[in-house]
Amino acid sequence: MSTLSFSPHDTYNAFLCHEKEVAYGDGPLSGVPVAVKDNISTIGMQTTCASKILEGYIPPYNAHVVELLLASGAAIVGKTNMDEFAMGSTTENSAYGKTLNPCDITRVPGGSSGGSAAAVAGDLVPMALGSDTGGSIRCPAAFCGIVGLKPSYGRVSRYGLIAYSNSLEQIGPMAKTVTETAELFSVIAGHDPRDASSLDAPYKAALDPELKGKRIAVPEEFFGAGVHPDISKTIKEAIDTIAGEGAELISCSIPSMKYALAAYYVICTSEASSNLGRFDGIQYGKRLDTKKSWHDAYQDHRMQYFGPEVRRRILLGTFSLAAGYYGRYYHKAQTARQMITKEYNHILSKADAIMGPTMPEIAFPFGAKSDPLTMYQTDILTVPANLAGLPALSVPCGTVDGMPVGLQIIGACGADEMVLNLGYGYEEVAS
Amino acid sequence: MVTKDDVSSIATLCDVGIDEDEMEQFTEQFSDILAFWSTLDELTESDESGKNSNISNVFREDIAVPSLSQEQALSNTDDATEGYFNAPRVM
Repeated sequence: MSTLSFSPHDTYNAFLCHEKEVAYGDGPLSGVPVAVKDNISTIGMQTTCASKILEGYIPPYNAHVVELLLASGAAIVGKTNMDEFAMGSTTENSAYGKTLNPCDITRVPGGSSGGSAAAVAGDLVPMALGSDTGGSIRCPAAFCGIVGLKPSYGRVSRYGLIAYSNSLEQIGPMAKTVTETAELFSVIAGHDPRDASSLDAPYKAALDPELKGKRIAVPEEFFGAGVHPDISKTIKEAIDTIAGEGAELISCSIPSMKYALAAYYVICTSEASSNLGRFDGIQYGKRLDTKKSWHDAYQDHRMQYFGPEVRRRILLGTFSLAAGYYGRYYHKAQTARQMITKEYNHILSKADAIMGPTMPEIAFPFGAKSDPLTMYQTDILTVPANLAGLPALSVPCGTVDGMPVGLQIIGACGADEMVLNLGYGYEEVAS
Repeated sequence: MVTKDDVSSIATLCDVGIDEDEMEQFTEQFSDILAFWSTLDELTESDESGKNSNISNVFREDIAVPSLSQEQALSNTDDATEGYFNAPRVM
């Protein structure tokens, strides 16, 4: 065991807590400082999900990915800021203050893994773990100009990830380059019997930059209404660069995209309303007032320590699952999810990947989207990959008004190798 | 159209607590969000089954493995009695 000193000049509020002296061992990531999103359990390190309700909670067990990081020799230097319980796209919903975008501190870093993205983009660490339920790795990666991978559902164990929406979320790697992202992915991917949805699919491939002969589907919906024209232009230039290397472009359409956002928000809030029921102030986190009666104590506690967005989503999810509404919302959302999965799988049976923008706009100023529905609409291009369980990578591909733009590369389920290779190929050509 | 009564009864159902100012705000926001969700109304039963047919249960043998000790399980509370969590009265 060796130790390293870690004292980041964290002007971005990327970290919620960090260690000063960090032990690390031998292995492929020996001595590499890695930051971990604060919804991933770490023995001895406070894990709050950026919520007051979990203030003071110190997990008695490690997440599977944390065990793997430690076994790889990585130095886990601290926990990063996020939207409370990963509910948001800006990291403004943290109970511990917003994180600033290192590219322009007047703008949001994206979210919900905004702390991890800012820690990497601001050169505080070379690598970080995030989690992605509807774009929470890819959005901040795009807004901060770094690389982020949402793996195929099941490739990374969710054991020890504090659950928000189990059927959608995945832990994934974030770094400045595809090479480092793949390096971190190779450490965290693989089977874990403690997560029943875990696949026995470790990542062992060497990156291959070959673009020639690759078939790239370009759906018109990724360049439609709501996508800023300058973003469309930048992304089309990146895709043309890839075509220039011998890739074949295939125009296509995904009509079910129009249901994606509604389906996503019905499903994630429904799952959240159940998952967050466990935060009752009895076993961990802030203490409940046990002198009150159960319902009074529970309601007062959750009103005091959950932020407004968390309570909004619990309410919405409870509503969508309530008797009389279930058929109209939750059941229909599952129908939409199945249609979306089918259409994506159909396209990906004929193409190696789908490409388009990660986000419909560049990072916006703080407070620019105060209305929840307007905020939800920024997730339109990222949620389909979560609904369909597909791997999706965001790679920097230029700037608009001086702010980074992310190219999104979506692959078939289990084809994380392909999306990393295509991202690597683009990175090589673009540089 | 969502009413304040709808929001109030849902808030009671899920125990999140809600005050008068929020009631107003949430009612308005929920009307907008549910209007947006109504895009799903276009889907009919004939579109798909509504069930994800590609998933199946993952079973394993029920084998006891080491778990948290009582001390570890209680390590995040300072309100325990004789090895049990204290909880509010239910009745």
